[in-house]
Amino acid sequence: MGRAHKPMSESNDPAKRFGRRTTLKLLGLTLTGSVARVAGAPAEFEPVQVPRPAVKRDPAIPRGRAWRLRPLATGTTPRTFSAAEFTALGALVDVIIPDTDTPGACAAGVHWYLDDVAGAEARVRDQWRAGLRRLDAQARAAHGRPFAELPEPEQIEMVTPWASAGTADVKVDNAGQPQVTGAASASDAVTPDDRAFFAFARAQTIDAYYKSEMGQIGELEWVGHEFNDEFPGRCTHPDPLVHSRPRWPRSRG
Amino acid sequence: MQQGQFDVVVVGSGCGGSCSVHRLVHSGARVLNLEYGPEFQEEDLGSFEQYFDAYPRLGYAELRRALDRPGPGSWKRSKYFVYQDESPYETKGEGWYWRRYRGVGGRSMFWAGVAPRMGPLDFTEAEVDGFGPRWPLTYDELKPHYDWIDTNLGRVGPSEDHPNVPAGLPQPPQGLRCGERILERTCERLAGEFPLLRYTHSPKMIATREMGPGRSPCHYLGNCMEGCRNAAKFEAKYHLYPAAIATGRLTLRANAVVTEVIIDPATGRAFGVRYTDRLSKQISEAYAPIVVLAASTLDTPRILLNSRPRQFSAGVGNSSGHVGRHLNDHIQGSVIGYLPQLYGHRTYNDDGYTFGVMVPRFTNSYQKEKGFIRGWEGRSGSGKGIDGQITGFGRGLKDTIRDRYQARISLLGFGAKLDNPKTFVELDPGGRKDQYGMPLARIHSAYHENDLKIFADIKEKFTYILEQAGAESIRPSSAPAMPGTSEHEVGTCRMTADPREGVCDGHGRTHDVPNLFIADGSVFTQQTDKSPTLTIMALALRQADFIADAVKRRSL
Repeated sequence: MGRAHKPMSESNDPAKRFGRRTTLKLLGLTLTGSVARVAGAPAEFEPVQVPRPAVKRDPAIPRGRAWRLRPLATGTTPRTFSAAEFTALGALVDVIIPDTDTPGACAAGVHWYLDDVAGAEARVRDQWRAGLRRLDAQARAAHGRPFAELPEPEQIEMVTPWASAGTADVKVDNAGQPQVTGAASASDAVTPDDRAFFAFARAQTIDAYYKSEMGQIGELEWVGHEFNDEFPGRCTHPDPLVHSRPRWPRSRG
Repeated sequence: MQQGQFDVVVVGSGCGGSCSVHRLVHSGARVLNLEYGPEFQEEDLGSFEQYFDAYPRLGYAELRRALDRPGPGSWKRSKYFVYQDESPYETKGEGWYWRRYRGVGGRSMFWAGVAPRMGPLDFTEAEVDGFGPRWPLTYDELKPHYDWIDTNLGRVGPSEDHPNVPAGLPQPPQGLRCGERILERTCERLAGEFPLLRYTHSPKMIATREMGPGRSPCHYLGNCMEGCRNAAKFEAKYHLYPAAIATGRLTLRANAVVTEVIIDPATGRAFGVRYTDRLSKQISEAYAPIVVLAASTLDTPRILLNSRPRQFSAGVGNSSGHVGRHLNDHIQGSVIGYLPQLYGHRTYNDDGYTFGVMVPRFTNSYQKEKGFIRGWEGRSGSGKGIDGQITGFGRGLKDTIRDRYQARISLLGFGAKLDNPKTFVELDPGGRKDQYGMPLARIHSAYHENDLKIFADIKEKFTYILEQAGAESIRPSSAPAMPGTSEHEVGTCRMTADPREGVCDGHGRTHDVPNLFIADGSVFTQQTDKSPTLTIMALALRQADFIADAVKRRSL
């Protein structure tokens, strides 16, 4: 059985979740662009070159609290998807947003939420179904097992070509439907449908995950909706990235 | 309702209607105010409920109803929104996204509050480029009313005039957020290239100082469009109605859907209005010697066109044939990017108020220098943004989204659309009616060639500014937002000096019916690059003064 069906109490335990994953698979699959400085950076920022750490984390914030926040949705039996589809769904959303030092998509209840969304939107449901079926079929063809039962490195290896479409190639239209406009994929095994599906799945997963308390507050550390007497906006919050810059533009008024 | 009970009936309670009501009752008139929607409940405003709290409470199906297009864009506002199933409308051409907020206060409840004054050139620009009629009034005639609003209702903004954006009498604005400060600096560097380019505070109908009982200064608590419980942002229900009701001269009737203006067959003058109760569907009439329509740019022409007494077979006020024509909103394009200077920035509370920054019109400055006429102005904001369009997956995706969370910067341009014969509102030609007996609206829309040139210019200039700021992942909008999205529609009963060219005169009085006035965005002679609301309010105040004066002189 895939991770998706593990009871919430288990996945909420950071000690158990951590370390179970090999970090190897997580390295090297980062398709996101590098964050190197652009050549055209404005002159006033030049004097201070702050090398950006790979992942900047404020040690003052206990990241472990993210695990104690609520998932967006929970459930016992999927209402829209079959057991096989739901298992594949859970595995896929966890590949897209895995557990790190904060909960991943399944821990945040994204798969339960998406089950509910798909129940209300037939187009969304059909797109998930068709895509998840292809995902499982391809996993069986290559490894003899459904996608959710593959070890994580193999899951990642499998979806990497599916994720190869850039944003220029796939656009999500107003109805939430990805439209593939680019050229055919480098790999013949991966069809434009697969790439469109992955773009769709990623958009749905991101949307749901960052709406959850675990995503919004636990991962992004959102703060706000507090009453303030003033809003000086002078970057008064303590932040080395900003305040170590001697020539940071100050308020004129 | 009995004759003689009221001096004026005002249809609508939005930004125009509320100003009209307020000024009229304080001039001594007994006013009946009819509003399509319900009374607002305070708990529906500014609740700032998070999605993760709303979802378990309401469920997805309920939220989806509120979030579906076309809709109010927020489940909190959906209660005050008229959906297609209540009163359908059709569109032709490019489509129209008609946001129908209905309730006491109208759109003032859920507007962002951006309120620049129109400048002297906006009233006369038609003379420069020769397109369309000029406004039948000048900035100087409207200035006292702009001043009254600044002083009595409160408005923040930059303290310095920009060419053609008079500062007025503003209160101190909020500070700039980190990303906004970076862009302010970038725009200063570009001064050589664009002498008029400013990245400055947005004029907004928000008070940052004490304004008296019932109102608090801004609490910088986030999205103004969810409504402001503190009444720091202008909301008619809190700012104008309490004092108007206290005079004892106002009768406010909610859930009254006005369908037509009643014309006295003997004199050809307006006599009152006919309305349907939204709940009981009962049809009633209200009589008053003066009728003011402020039902919105798309509903006022519908009411006029649906009123067809013998004298006005083409609709009341429509002898010129201009009612429902010249429909215009803003062509809207945006560019977003992420500032690497802020990557990895710790998350902080940067709520403030919405649209803190304005970029006043700086290209095509009042002359035909770019192959198009008219222009556009911009808004900007920075802070929390989820970059959902980056590629990849896994830990890298998660970290990139987090690192960029505070680094988002957005620029949004609003361009003045030009009149074109294919953009107008009419009644359903098949005669179909909604449940209130009102003929359905059919909205036609098309882009003028000039609109698309403005859209291209918005994208080009804003992309350039973001490039100069060093932003990454710069994404201009691929196509203009659907017509109507800006909610800045104006022009369907335009005011002109020449009765053959428009529907009303410079006081919003219809050329055809001397005691019928219009006090909403439909009276705009031309669209400008500015948000129209403040001018709608100033025009309504000026009109109410005119009515009071005319009644005194018995010249109506």
